Amino acid sequence: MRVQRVWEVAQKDLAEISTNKGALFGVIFIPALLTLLGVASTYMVAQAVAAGRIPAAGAPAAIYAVLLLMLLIPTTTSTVIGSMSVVLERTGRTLEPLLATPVRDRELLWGKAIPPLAFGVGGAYLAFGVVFLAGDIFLAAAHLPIEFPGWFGLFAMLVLATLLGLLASFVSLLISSRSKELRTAQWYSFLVALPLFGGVIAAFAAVPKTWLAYSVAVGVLIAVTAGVVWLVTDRFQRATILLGSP
Amino acid sequence: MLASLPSRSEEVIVASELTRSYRGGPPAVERLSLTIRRGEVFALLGPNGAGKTTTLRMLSALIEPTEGRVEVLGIDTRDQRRIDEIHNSLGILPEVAGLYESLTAYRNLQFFGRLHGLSDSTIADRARTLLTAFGIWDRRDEKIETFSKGMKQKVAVARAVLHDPPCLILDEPVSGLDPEAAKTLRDFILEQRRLGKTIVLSTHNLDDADRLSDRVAILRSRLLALDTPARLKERLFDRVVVVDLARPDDGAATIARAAGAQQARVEGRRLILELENAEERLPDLVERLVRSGYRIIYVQPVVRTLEEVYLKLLESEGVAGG
Repeated sequence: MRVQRVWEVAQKDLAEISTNKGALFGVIFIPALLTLLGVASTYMVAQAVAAGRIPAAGAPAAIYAVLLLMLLIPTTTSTVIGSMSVVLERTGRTLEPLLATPVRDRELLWGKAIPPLAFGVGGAYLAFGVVFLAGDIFLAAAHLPIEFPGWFGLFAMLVLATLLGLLASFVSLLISSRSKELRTAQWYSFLVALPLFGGVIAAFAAVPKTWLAYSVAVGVLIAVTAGVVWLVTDRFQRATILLGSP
Repeated sequence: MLASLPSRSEEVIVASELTRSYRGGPPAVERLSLTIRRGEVFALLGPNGAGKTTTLRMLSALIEPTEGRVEVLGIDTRDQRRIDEIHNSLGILPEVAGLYESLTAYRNLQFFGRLHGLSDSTIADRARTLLTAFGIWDRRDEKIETFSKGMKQKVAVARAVLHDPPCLILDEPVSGLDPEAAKTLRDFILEQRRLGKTIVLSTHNLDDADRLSDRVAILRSRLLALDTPARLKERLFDRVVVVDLARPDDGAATIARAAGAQQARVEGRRLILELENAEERLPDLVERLVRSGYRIIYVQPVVRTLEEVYLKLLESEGVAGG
């Protein structure tokens, strides 16, 4: 696999996304909305504890729920970008000349995976950074004896965001490579990605907040993600991509 | 099991017994065998749905045949480990230009050039040469979405030859273009042939196939005919010759039939003959007419067009006009 070809495909896709209004809406609007929601929720939790409306002991759980909800950022953004990726090449009739270059199937797949990962995971990292910073500021300003889910919480969210971004990117890329039009690709990608997101969130909401329990849960998710990446890599073949057959 | 195919250096593409079906339907291409030699222009002709694009895609290693095999410069196209060698030796122009509309013409060429492993300076040099030849160098930094169909086709052709491949595969290269753009591309194809490139093209334009190609394959899922345009005309039609006489006389037809003409009729001053083996029989026939006292102003063969050949072949297959 030549990294230069992977990067070239990724660069080209990034340049195209930057001029695609539909893609930009998905890349900017959803992360911005969820970041705002995270900041506002953290502020309201701090205010509610300060006003005595909820006990201080209940605050971390409320904040953790909001953070889990913010994992929608890598899920939706990666799905929006990933589902567009191959199907737009097909509808734009650029797929045939692209596949007629020396680029190999895996180079094409990873080149196509970089933009949804970059926007989905990068957007999530940025959003979590903002919300964690805001949380620390609000809680400190309210002089509350609550620690915002510190470095462990931040690390947990970044790991989950990365894995969900990978899952959403690869699943939507596979669906995009087998779809003949954009709406179908997006519809089926969300149909798979959202239940996936729901399952992960439900599982992690139920996992005890200990290093051991969290490590086991993350290990299972890593194994599932690796399986999906392997499956998609195996199924991403130029003949089926070109013809768009299931 | 197929026998090993020859890979002599003059054979650029060797296709053997190619069959391709889609989702269990009837074969789009059936048992197609052909050999494309170095330096020739090879045209694929056929009605819509005849399997031309499917054939070109199989020859380009873009799809695999359901049965049979293709070798490009001796490399089996099923060998995915050598797919980059195959694609570096082919310059492919699809039926639709297929350029990235939101990117500039130059960025399109740069993207494809880099995937072929060209350095940026090589891409710059070749892009300048090609786009200048097509008269669009000044518009290199404009987005493709602002280009006309002819300009897009020129950029797509530039993309196909940017990495200087020995073989070009062109699907309908001049289809739907205005006469000026079509001429530019026709001249470009002839120039590439002069440079020794092998060119495989599919076209609906029979005049183009006649003028540009060394050999023609007529397809309708399977191969109906394969030969040079001149030989196809000879094979399918008896040679028609017009003899312009100094004065009208029905007796000339009788002499011509006696001299071996299959058909002979007089229309005004013109004696119209249909001859097999015209090269052998015509001199004798003309001599007899002269000895019989006829004065001949000129003798002229009637040139059949490839279109007539094509229509006759399809008619025999029951698809003409359909």
